[in-house]
Amino acid sequence: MSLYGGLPLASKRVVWAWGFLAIPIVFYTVVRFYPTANAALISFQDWNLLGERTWTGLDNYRTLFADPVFWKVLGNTFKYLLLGTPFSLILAFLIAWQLDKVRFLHGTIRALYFLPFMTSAVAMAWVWRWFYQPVPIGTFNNLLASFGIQQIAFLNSTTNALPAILAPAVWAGLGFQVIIFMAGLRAIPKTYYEAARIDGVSSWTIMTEITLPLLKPTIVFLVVFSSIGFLRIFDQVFNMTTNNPGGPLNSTKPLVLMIYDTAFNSFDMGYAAAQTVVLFVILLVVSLLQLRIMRERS
Amino acid sequence: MPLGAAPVDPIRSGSTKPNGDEVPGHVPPRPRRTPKRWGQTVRWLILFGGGVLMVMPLVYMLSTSFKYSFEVYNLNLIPEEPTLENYAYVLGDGRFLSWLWNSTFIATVTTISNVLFDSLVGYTLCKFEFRGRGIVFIAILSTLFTLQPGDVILTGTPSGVGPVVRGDSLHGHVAGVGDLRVSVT
Repeated sequence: MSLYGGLPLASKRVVWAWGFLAIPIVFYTVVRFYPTANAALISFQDWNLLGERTWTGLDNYRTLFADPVFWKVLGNTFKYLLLGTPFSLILAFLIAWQLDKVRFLHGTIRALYFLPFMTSAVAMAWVWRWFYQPVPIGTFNNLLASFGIQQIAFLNSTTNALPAILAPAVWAGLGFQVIIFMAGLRAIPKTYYEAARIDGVSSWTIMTEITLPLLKPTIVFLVVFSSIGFLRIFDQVFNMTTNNPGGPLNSTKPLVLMIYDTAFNSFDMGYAAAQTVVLFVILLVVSLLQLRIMRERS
Repeated sequence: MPLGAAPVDPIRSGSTKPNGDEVPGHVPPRPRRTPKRWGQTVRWLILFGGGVLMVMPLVYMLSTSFKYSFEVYNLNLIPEEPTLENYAYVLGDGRFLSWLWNSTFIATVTTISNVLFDSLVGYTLCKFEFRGRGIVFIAILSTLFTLQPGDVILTGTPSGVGPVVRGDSLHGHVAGVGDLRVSVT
């Protein structure tokens, strides 16, 4: 007490400042930075979670890059990214752009689009999984059957399964993207549109010269966030293919699911950590590339 | 009025001319459905239909929760024999309530700790001057912006700043350009 009481006022403020910052700093160090650094360390070791950790150098990375499953899984991960991000963002933009002009029941329609975002990904994965089942069970195939259309093997086909799993992920994220796009559209000053209307500018020019350029911060934010989301897809895949996670024949397995399998089914922690480091590097590179490209365009 | 089929609004239904002049003793005709109004109606219908499609999985989930297992594979939205059996089953064995408690607990603790500690950090960075403040602040800002050399970070209001009052003298100086003095009288 006397130690603190004897300090000058400026030092007391420093004590308070670092006192306020202490808990978040300790939390981040213990819960974020330490495990991250530890994962990077384990990726150079061989460890089955219980035994000794032995140093193996780059062995895990060599095994990984020679593993055909890894390349298949990496391809799947980028399929989720390259199909999911453009499709969901274009759809969300079209909805937000049109919904912005609607007044009648505006809030209700917005709520309809936003509701799926509030539901749990795990629960909805099981509902969609039920929709996709073959005829006596699955809703989609029952609907097709009632119109006399041929059945579609959704989750049992190596070509259809990935888009079928992507659909509920896009569906669940759409509402959030619509809301963010609408906020971005509202932030564009109306004076630009008035000026354009007085000058008799075509609606296409208004879109490409006013709306899209001024919406760029919103677009950058959504592209980066949804890309990270699709690169880390796991819940939908794991729950919709539980009897054979990532199946059929690894056709839907994303990188995160491969990490999960290696770590918690094979208990090969070093190998899983190496995969995690690779995923981290991919996320970092993709995010930085997007930020750089989107910034340069202005 | 995006829906053209509701011309009940007396202001818009044509009791005045477009320039606002009243037309005495004349009941103007209802406005026709112009192509623009058709466009608005079609836009509304598509957006509303899309919204309904978006919640259909949730509606099916809700409807199925009131169905007996033999009726689950029926496409009907309204169950033929509604039942609360599923709810009784889920709530009956007590595990669901403990799961619900777990979720509530995590959500509450996370929210409270976020609000508490984030406001502590925000307040500290905003109001205190201390060694290391710059590093913490730049660390947080760097996650939001790419900082370049020469960037100036301005936060809050420095002490001593206030409204300009009579008697104040304002001095401006830009190196290489010159000085400016303004006296407020």
